[in-house]
Amino acid sequence: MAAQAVIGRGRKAHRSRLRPVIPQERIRNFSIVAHIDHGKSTLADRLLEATHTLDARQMTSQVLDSMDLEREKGITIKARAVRLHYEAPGGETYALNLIDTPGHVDFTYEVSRSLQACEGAILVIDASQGIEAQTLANVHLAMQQKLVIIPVINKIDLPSADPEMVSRELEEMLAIPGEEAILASAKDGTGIDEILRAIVARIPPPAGSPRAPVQALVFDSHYDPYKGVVAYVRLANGTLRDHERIRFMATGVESEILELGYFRPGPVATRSLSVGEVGYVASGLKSISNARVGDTLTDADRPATAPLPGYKQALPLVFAGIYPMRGDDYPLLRDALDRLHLNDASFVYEPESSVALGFGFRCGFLGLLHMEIVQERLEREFGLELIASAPSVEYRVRRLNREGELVVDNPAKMPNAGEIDQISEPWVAAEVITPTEYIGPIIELATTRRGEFKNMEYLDPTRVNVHIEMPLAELIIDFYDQLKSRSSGYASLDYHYLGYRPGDLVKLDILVNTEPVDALSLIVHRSQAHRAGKGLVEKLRQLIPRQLFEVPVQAAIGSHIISRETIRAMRKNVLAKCYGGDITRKRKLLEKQKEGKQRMKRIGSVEIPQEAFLAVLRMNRETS
Amino acid sequence: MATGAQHLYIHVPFCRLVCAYCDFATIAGRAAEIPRYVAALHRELAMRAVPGRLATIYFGGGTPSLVAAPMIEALIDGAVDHWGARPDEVTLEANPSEREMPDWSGLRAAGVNRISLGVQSLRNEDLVALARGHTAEEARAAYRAARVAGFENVSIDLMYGIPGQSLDDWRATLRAAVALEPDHLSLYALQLVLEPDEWAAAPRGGALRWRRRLAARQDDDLAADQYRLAEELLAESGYRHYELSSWAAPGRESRHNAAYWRRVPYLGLGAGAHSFDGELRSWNVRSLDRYMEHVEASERPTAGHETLDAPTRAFEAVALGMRFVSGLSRRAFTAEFGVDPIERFPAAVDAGRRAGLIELTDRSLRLSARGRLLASEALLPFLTPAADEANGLLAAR
Repeated sequence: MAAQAVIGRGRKAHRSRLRPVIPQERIRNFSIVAHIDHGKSTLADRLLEATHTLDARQMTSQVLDSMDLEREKGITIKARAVRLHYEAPGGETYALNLIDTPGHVDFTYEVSRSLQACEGAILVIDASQGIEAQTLANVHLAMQQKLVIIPVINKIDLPSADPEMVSRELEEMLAIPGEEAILASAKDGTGIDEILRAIVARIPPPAGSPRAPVQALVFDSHYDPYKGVVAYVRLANGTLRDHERIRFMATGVESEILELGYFRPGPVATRSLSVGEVGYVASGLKSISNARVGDTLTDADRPATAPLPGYKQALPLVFAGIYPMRGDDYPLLRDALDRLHLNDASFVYEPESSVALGFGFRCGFLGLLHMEIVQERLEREFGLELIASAPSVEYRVRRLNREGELVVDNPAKMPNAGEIDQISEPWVAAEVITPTEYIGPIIELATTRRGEFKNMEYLDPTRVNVHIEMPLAELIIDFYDQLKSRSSGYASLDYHYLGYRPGDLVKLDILVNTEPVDALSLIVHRSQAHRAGKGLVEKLRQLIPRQLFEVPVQAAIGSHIISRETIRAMRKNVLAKCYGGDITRKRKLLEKQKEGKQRMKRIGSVEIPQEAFLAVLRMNRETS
Repeated sequence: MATGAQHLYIHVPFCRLVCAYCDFATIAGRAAEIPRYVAALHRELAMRAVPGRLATIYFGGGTPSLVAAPMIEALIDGAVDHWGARPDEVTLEANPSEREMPDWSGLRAAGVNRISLGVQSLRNEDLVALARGHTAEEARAAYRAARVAGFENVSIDLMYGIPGQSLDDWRATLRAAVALEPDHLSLYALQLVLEPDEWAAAPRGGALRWRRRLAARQDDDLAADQYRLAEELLAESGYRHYELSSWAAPGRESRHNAAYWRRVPYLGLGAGAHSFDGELRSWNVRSLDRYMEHVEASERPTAGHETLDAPTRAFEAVALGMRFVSGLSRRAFTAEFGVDPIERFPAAVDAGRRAGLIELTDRSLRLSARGRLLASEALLPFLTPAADEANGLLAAR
């Protein structure tokens, strides 16, 4: 039967008249939950192979991760869904829908929607590494949604594999009986059949009625230039048919189905998608913000009375200014952001301008990785060279004698100290899973970042889960890198948003020749202001070349100068001889120098090389 | 300008030791090929010489003093034959090392009448730091020998900005140099080019590391003080500071070098030598082997050339004219370009005056005392893109 299924290739979907009709009770919807590098993508590849969804010739390693960036970073950014046709030992064919999930803490909400589309989850754990913080967070999400968990202990072929240790962790941390775990090696194919049998045997078929009004959960979407917005859906009730009018219940936007189908892994168009099935719906809509992750799609002519539970709009937590290196590239950057936003509605952007950096955009991201991904895609896919300001969070500011709160996501926009009654900042609860020997350095790191140690629990005699509460602003500035370096790479991190708390925060301004440099302003805790100011001012003194006049570099809180360095006036530059053979060379050197000057940023009458700015912004990001 | 070259430069790339700070076309260990090279110089002269009156010859290097006097004589004679007159000034650069002491009398007899001695410092610690391969005493001996042989016009090169050379050390070197009573002094700030361009051979790994190490110890402020001290001390001793790096006893200014700064035509022979005919500047291949191969095959050894358009000529007029301490003659500039330099470059002149780098007199545009130390900064605003000129933007400003 599997041979009858047509595998889609390229952009155009193949329409199969002979697609196997698979009844609802033979559908299984599942995800794979795993930590980065624990082998999720390789396992997915093996499942595709074993079910002949792709043969070995068509396999490029890790088919599901289609973006270059995903392959390079070894993570899944966009969730995708593939239908596998599995012929069980009894002879019946099952449709197994593998719904892939993003693997990073920035995308927790997207993970939760993907899990909501499933009845089961395969939990992949590296036999030599054990359970990591993020895996734990995602398994908890899956358990909250009452998914059946199939534990798979992967990489048992490794010499350092310790499956018994992992089974003990499963029992102690997740109360999953160790004997339920399947021992596997996705690399050499061990355990793959057993996993497929377990999917059929242990995961229940989807519930719901094919005749009820349509409720389809949107768990992902992308923009296709030919088909418009394509929503990835899981039918919770009812049946969707080609050319029907549909409505996205949260946004209220309606359109007609241009095409619907499923992935194997290319798109295969069908005439309908019924309850329990997972597939795609091409809407022709122009903006991805119309088909938000978590929304419910229904039949516009016979709508469901209520949407599926759990929709919320993902909120950006991390903000930064993004500027083109060359001012001329501003229109290009604007177009690039517009186009990228078609495919990623989770970042926000609006124009802003900076004295130091010119015209650019203030952007909001789900997290630091999300920011990196967006910046990298802008540079890579649109050929832009960008400068990003130090990431910031959104502060809430209560002003003296003023009603309401001011929301500030750009330190340069913070009101003067004299007007401020109180500044609040977002806090997060962080969980760090680490071998016990790194507890000390990790708590110390968290404390220097204003973190509050809450408690910790032993997962086994050698590993603990440390619970810390800390300001998000402290977490987004290289906390993860520091955590990795202080734990020899062993600690893993997960966090979730707690809420706003007031803090003794101040705006730190950097002044060059008495002019404030807006792009370098920072919001810091008062106790850290002096150190941060001194560091920045010293670095700037080293990086700003001497000018024809003396230049003071200062750090200030309001009108109070807390640190000062002086760049002495230049007294001598190149004073070389100049004979017959030197004239052209000297002129060319001057021309080069002049070009260099034109690329410099100007603060008042001070010329600052771009590299100096970049270095300081990098430093802002790392050690403020 | 078809008047032809009036100044002849002959490059001799051979050195006993190549100095790690040097960017010139130089080569060590090939002295055996000097006769072949000199033959190539004769051939290039025959290929390239143009009519005109020959005013000066300058043997630069490298180490021209490694070339035996009879060969120098033959080259001078060749030029004299070609132009039909004996030049007024014939300079030869010499290295003041005992191990390569030239035949001073022979050179004098050959027609050389001016010696430029690469003393660099009269403090042994500096000479060691620069790996010069000679001592201060050897330099003094070479100087005296040249005088004894009858050279009446001797110039000394000195360097400041050498790591480890304090202001007092420099004062001592200057005083010791003045005590020798040279006719001329050229003072250079030690410049360590770390990022070579097309004009400088990439230094070998060892030399580059050496340069980086030394450059890290250089102090621009100290070098500025050293320059100021030289200006003071040499003025007291009766030397006129006539060009940014040059001081002369009355009437002893280098006529050959002044030709470069006046932008009159010159013909350069030899590996890496530059030539200029008033509009076209060209330069020879730097490689000794390539140079000899080309010439021996009767091919011009040119590596590249540029034709100077009007904006470039105007810029060079300012850049080179302001190397003279007396400045750029406004009348001469006006005669050539039809406009006074302060009208041609109003913004640059204004910026330079406001920054205290440029002074304006009725007759000249010149660098101030501060500007002489910051000549590049003063000149940058004069570099206006040719497009501005074409669009008449300058006229509008």
